[in-house]
Amino acid sequence: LLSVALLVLAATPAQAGWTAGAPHGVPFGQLFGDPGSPTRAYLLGPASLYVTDDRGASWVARSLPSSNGIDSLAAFAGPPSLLVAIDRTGAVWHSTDQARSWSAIGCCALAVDAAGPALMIGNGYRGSTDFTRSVDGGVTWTPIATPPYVTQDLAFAIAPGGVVFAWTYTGVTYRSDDLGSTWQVITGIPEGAIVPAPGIVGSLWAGGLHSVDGGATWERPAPLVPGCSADAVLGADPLVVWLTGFCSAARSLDGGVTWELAALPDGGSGPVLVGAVLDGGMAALGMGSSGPWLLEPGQEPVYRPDGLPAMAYGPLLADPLVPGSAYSGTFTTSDRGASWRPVWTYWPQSIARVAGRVITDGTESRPAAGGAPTALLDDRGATASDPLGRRAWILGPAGLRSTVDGVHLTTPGAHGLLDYGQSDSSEVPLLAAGGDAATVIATFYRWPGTVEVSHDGGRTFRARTLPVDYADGLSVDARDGRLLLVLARGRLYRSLDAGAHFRRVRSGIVATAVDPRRRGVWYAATATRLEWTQDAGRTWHLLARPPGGRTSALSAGAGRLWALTGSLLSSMALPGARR
Amino acid sequence: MIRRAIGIALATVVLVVPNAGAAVWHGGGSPPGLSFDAEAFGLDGSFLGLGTASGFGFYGLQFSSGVRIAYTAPAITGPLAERPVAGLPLGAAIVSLWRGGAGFRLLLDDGGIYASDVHGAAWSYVGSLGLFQGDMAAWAIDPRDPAHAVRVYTDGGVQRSTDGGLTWYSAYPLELPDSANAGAAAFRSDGSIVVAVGEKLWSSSDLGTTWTDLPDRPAPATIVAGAGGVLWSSDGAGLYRSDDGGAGWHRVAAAADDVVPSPDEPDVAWAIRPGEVAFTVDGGATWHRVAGARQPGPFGLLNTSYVPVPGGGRQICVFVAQGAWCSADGRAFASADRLLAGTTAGIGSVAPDPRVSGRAVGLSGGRLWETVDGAVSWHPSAAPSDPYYLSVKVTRRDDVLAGFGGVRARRHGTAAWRALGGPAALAFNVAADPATGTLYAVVGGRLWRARPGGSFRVTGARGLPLAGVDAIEIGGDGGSIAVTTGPGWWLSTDDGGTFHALRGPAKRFAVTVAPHDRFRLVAATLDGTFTSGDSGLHWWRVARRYAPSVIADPWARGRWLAIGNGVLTVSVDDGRSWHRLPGSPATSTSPSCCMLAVSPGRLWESSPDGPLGIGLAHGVWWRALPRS
Repeated sequence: LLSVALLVLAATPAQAGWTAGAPHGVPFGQLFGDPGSPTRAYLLGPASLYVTDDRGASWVARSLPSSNGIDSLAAFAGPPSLLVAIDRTGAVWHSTDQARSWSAIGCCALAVDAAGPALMIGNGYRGSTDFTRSVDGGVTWTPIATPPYVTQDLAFAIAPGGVVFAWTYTGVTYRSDDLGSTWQVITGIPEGAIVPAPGIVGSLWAGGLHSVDGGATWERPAPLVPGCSADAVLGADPLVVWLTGFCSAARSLDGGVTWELAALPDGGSGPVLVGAVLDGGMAALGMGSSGPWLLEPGQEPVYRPDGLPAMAYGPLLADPLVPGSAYSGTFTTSDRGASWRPVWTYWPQSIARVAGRVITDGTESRPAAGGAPTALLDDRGATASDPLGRRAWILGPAGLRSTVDGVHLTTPGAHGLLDYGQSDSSEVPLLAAGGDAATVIATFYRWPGTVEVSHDGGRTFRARTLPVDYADGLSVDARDGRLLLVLARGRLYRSLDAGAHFRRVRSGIVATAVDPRRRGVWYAATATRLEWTQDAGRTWHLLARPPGGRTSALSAGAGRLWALTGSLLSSMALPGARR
Repeated sequence: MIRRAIGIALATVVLVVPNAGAAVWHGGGSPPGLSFDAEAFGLDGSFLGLGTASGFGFYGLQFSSGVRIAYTAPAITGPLAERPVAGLPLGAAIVSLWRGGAGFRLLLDDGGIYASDVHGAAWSYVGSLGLFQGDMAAWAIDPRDPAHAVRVYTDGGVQRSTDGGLTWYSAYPLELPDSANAGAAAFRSDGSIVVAVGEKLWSSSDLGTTWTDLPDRPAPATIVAGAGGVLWSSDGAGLYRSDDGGAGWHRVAAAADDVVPSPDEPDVAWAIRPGEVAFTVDGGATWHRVAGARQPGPFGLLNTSYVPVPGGGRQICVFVAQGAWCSADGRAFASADRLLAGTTAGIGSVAPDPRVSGRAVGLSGGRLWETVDGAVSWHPSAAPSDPYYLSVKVTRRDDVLAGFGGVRARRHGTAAWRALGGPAALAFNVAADPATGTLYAVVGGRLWRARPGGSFRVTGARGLPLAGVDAIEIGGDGGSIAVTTGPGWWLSTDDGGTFHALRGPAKRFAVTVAPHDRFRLVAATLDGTFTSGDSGLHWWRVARRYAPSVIADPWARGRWLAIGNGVLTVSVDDGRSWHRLPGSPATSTSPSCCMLAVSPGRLWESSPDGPLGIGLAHGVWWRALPRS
């Protein structure tokens, strides 16, 4: 009786303990430095604002002054230190307490002088070509001249001495030496934003090039990779310059005479755009695809997400080999989600795990423990591995490939596999593997729905008709390759005979996972409930209610079940098996 | 259990019988030919042709894997050398290729500009035109000094580069006409540039720092700079020439689609019009038509490029799929056989002779080819010079050639072609009844028929759609005709008297009619192969494999052959069951592989893929089929 009671308890939801966590960051945002503090920076997200006072070690959320969205921020040293925000309608807001509170100042601003908050260029309304000037921080405005040619999509920069530059990214560039009362077309300005150095007359940066004579001549700083666009960010000291682009990051402490390169994450495969210069130029915060990074010449880049919101994304893959390890979006964790580190500087569409490596999109693999990637295929494809990570497959435009070590690819043959090139769809295929690493199945977003099944590792395929036109998800039982799961429009279909027949077994399902070691043990999530079956879908039982919001992905591996719920990633120990 | 095992064993034996004894494929030859994706001549007259590996990818769209092969020759006379290309990004397609510096320059559709060595094999990034960084109205790169480039945006912004596109600087903006979004730009030989957008023209001799307004003129479709600073421009009203940098233009000829000036002589140019290439050596005062340019196009409809050969000789070459023609000093275009010698063309349409074993004809490179030794060797076959050929068929009596000039036939063993009459549009889809040799075509909802030896006559067929016809299938000893306009099919089982909409087994399908059973159909769909014995009232799926090309063997009742995804299958029971056959060496999983055809006792297989489909074997192959 005791053993029966323990057995029942082992399978009850009450014992399903969840560990919730998530990578943190802001995938899309803009950083601004604060000359009033060498360690302070602001991170402006699409509808959020965060501030750090410790070089990005921790971030605190602040309120935005306007629901219209903020176009730009500018900080001034003071005292008191002043933060000026311009929203998308041109309204000007001031904060003197690091964005804790805001005061409405005026309207109609387009740009503010980097040297001080009083001088602004604006217009009557967004899109208007009736440009105006304010010398009192946006309270009152005076009409100025309209540039002679192109007037749409102009950006403005105010340089020392009342010089104003206006430009478009199509090469139209104007200069005014009288705060906009008159404009002259100027030529020979490099492509990119014009950044005047505050306090140094004639010092301009544009497109990674530097001019010391007001734009008459330009020089390219030596260390930057040619052909990579780069914009300049200046520190409080105008001699401190950071240049970052898509290929490189460099710092100069002497106005561009000498330079030091700073390492970028993942070997520089993804851009990190510096927005805030810290510590007098010794370091800088830049935005990458996952959030802020601290860059410093001579040091490895450091991801700085603490305090930023959770932002878990798919694809989700529980590591089949390493307990407590999983991959989500661009991140990985090895401590059950307590901490996360970014792995990729791009967003993979599918992740597979084999041997000691992790494969993304079929284009690269890298050691799961971290390390340099190895290139695989030229074209992106769908990739999947069997639930124990013994073998992985890649299905791309070049056909089907498989690998047992994540480095060397073989062509299994794929006889009978539909040539997806014949489809008129624009969707990528779905790929799943299981059946003791012998079964691989694929389907494509096409009509009529078909799943193609191979039980010999991809050498031969047989097409099976799906009960639905399109499949949203595919799974293969980890041990028995005849057991297939197809998720389509919330309905879960099961086949016990390798796809010859499908039967609908559940509705309202948003995600599924298969137990990596036990035949017929599957997991399925509705929006709020997690259910499981131990008899290949004949009966289903409530397993748990994952924390967080709506579940959108499940994955099981190495003793844990992972769920992507809202912006959280949660995991629990896989429940015990029925004996 | 034992009985079941024996049954399985017997079934296995039955299944493998058709594959028993390794099939022997013969032939494998093909006409010479290559398809280049871009061509250019170096200053010394050396030739460079670049090939892009492409195919149909996952997304149902044609994808390009990028430039993969460089073919070079010391001159247009060849011989070609093949080199792998290095240094170019994957997946980008070619926008433009021209000579520059010591080698060549290449603009890809990702905006990247690359420079090559003299062989065009090793490339290095030199800059970017930034094609996708805004709405560009016009751009030009100086062919004499490839460091100089200018781009003009639709808002009037102008940028220039003096380092080959690595860095771009603002130039003086232009006041473009409202809603102008396309124009042309060209560098003259003195380094000045002319820009035309809408009806306005400007010139600049300082890379856009200052501009000079030129007199307005009707919107030019093109502006091309020739030798000596001469500008050529064409619009709907005529072809114009300017000797003063665009200040004054005088009309020298009727409108042309394109004008190709000589890179060496200012008064030499070629004007390209549909069906005509005209040549001038006196700056356009007089023109004469260059013989050998085919109608219309010329040389075809797609991917035709005209490249002048530098170094004198007043020579121009035309490159089309699988072929090249050149004309020197205005003489007739002649095939550049010496350049293409030793190459192998893919051949898309092979028509075996049902009467003469080992004979077949096919189209490649815009020419008609013939083999009489079972596709071991091919030689050009005399054909009418005017049409751009669409298809060729061989009946028991005639070779039939369909092209834009109409449908023509020649009796076997004769050289004279005779027109079969009817509207020229008949040529777009001509079908031949394998049993009788009667030809069928559909235009404007009417069925046309040409009996063997006769001409096309309209029939009284009813029920045909007015829409353009994509394909016609003939079977049932000529009594069953299936016609498709794309998604829909119409079927007649009364020798073309009345057509009814055919209900297919899937949303999209292609139908083949049994040669000797007017009610039996086989349909190829994405979900497999279906057969019907009652004119499409009921369908049965007989194969799950997708096989877009299904043909019937009119000389073996019940035998069907199909190929798809690189798998060749045969059915000997009217499509009820299918068995795999070993494919020919040309068989691949390429979607365009392969075309099947049958002659008595023989199966022919060919692929339209040119050698740029890397890793593919090409040529035309045949194997014996057992007599039924």
